[in-house]
Amino acid sequence: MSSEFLLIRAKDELVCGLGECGGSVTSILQYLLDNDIVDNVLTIKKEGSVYDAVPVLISNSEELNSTAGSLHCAPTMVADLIPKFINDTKLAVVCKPCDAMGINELEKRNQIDKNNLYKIGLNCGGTLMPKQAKEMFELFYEVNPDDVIKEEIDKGQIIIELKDGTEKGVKIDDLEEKGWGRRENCQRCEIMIPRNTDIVCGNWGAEKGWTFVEMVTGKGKDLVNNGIKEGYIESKTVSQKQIEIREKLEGIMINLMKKFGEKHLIIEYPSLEKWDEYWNRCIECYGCRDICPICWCNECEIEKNYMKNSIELPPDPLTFQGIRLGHMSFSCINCGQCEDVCPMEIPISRIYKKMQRKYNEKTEYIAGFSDELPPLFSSTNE
Amino acid sequence: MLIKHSICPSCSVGCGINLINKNGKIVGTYPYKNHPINEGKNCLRGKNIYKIVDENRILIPLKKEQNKLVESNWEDVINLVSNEFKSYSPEEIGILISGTNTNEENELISKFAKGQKITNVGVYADNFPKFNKEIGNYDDLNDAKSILLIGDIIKENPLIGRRIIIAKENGAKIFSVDDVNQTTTSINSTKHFKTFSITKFLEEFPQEIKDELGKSSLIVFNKIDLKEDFDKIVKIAEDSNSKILPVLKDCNSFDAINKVPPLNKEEIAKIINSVKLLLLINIDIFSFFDESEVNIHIPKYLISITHSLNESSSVSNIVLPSYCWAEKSGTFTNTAGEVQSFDRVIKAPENALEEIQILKMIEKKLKA
Ligand SMILES: Cc1cc2nc3c(=O)[nH]c(=O)nc-3n(C[C@H](O)[C@H](O)[C@H](O)COP(=O)(O)OP(=O)(O)OC[C@H]3O[C@@H](n4cnc5c(N)ncnc54)[C@H](O)[C@@H]3O)c2cc1C
Ligand code: SF4
Ligand code: SF4
Ligand code: SF4
Ligand code: SF4
Repeated sequence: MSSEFLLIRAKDELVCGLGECGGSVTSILQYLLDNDIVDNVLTIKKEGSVYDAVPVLISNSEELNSTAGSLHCAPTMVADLIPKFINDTKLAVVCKPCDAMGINELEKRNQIDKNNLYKIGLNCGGTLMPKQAKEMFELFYEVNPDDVIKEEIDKGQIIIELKDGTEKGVKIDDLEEKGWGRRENCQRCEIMIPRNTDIVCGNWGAEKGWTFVEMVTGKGKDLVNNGIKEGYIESKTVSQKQIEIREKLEGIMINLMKKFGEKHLIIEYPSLEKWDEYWNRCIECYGCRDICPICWCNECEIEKNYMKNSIELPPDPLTFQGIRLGHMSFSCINCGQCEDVCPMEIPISRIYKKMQRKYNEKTEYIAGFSDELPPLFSSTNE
Repeated sequence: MLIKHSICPSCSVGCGINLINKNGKIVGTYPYKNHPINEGKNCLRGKNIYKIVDENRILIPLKKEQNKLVESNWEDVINLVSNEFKSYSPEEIGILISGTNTNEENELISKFAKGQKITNVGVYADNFPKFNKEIGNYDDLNDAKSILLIGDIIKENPLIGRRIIIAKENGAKIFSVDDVNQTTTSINSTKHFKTFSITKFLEEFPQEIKDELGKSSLIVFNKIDLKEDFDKIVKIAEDSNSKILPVLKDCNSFDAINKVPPLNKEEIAKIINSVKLLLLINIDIFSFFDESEVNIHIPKYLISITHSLNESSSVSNIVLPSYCWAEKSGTFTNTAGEVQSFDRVIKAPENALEEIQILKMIEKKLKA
């Protein structure tokens, strides 16, 4: 089925103002809850400041207003929360590309039921780690990070808005050259528009105050059309030019991300000696495994075979990471969660992403997108 | 599903952690990336800490009858407790606590003891004494030029360990000392010193390390052999212009040792052996004693305030079921001296009571 495009925004003025680009996502979620099409919505919610967010499960559509807006300093992952804690409900989930890819991999592992799920995708140009972002705003923007009330990524800049209404922007390139900017995984993330969802929303190609929506599935088209019919959203047609602008931006970004991929995974990939140093500090906390949305073996073999004698020094990386590499690296979606939570600052996702790239070159299996698991793996993991 | 911020109570570092509440039960943790100390990273102990909520949970007040703990009710046990308190002189009563009580609880415990004129009071703090010295903070570690580590800091306090790794990547020299040959810390340090006695090591402090210690150096230690070792470390730090960062035992030891006397094993044993009535507040004395090591005799009457059945509470005469940290709001002071507040994430079991309430009930009864 080929995609269809529209420009949409919330009909409700309040929601329209609260939202990032016209509040379309928020009002579509409201439509879904109000009409009992889903029981719950899974998205993320600001906690006090733009640097802090937690996933929330919402069943009352009035609460949705508090979730409107994009948070670029919230590198969350919600995919694995679904099978772990929310499997028993009809759900709509808001997903960045990494969330959507995680969901896709879990669907293929029979951990998420596609039919019970509405996937509302967001375009994503990247997120920042909160502490890094704060330090960066202090250093490069010369502002008090507590005064920042909004942040966005637009036209190659990270732009912040301050309490007093002023805006400041710095080029992402300049920041990232100096080791700041987006998370390393986001820098090399090649999926900007998650077309593995029902609809994808973003500002690319849209005029201010509107969202450019790509309706990917039939379910997605019905959703947007019914949202319009029921008075939740209003729409405008998309011009050919707007479609082209969006495609062009996507193309530029993908090329840029590919360069980062080369840099992280080939040119600056740690040497074997450096990996030895990294493994020496591994405290075997299993943080990387536990957070990985793809790691989904009911009885993890690492626990079975390895935990028992994990007091050995130095730690034995091959046994521990080896099992995981064999089980899931072909499915690594480069979400970076493993690296984010590693207490020992080991660039752990580089290994997994590198393996995935190799696997992809050989088999064309695209983690997070392909419809089926590769034959060899389709039954071993559950 | 409801995800809420909390503070990890598993060691004294004070990491942030998000708790996942499903139907009133904590079912897991989620990274708290905006927390300035750990940025969403937790160690294995931290990630599993939520399990203590349900582990061996005591749901109802217990009293000993014919050498067995049987279910009772609050009125009954508070009466029994206050009668026992009244039947002993203050010298015959002792109160021991761990460093896991909140600041607010420590405050009340100290006031309660003073009010009852009880002087046999203390918090188990390994060999750490009360101190009044300026200490370094975690951010100092990232930029340190050299760091001396006493104890297996990287393994036991991994989110301080992380700062040491960062410092090392920034070019810092890392020295480690321990009474074993190889530890996670030793294999990550520039040079490791094995010693039979930390006291001795400090007395014969190697020139090699001395030469490297300076203004941007820290001495981080989570174990010492004797209380006096603390002053030795302070002296070394003062002489070299470097900072100290003592890593205390529990999540709120820092506050506890400032409100009640810090005690080591021998001092704890002395209190246990000299009193007739002993009140334990969230402390399992058998978790650090093994009876062969120090000769202790359980006092005539033992009262435990705790949320989980442990070795101490199982031999107590009265067990008063209290709240787990996730069930109350309060503040902890971490080992760098930062006060952090945390909020209730789930409801406590119906028949448990908050420590503060329990103490107030006892106090009231004693006044009556
Ligand atoms: C981190 C990030 C980067 C983005 N980058 C681009 C880009 O480069 N190009 C582009 O065209 N569009 C991008 N977008 C999408 C765009 O910012 C808007 O979200 C989109 O146009 C929908 O606007 P809206 O007003 O309809 O959404 P709203 O009605 O404001 O709803 C936004 C929804 O997104 C959820 N959300 C906010 N932050 C996050 C997050 N970090 N992770 C998961 N969910 C979140 C909210 O909880 C809410 O449900 C990005 C969004 C995010 C979150
Ligand atoms: S990994 Fe990709 S999808 Fe996820 S936050 Fe980063 S850029 Fe966005
Ligand atoms: S290995 Fe790491 S980057 Fe890859 S999917 Fe798992 S958590 Fe994400
Ligand atoms: S998260 Fe880091 S320290 Fe923990 S097991 Fe994984 S690689 Fe080792
Ligand atoms: S280092 Fe200490 S405070 Fe931090 S997660 Fe581990 S046990 Fe908890």
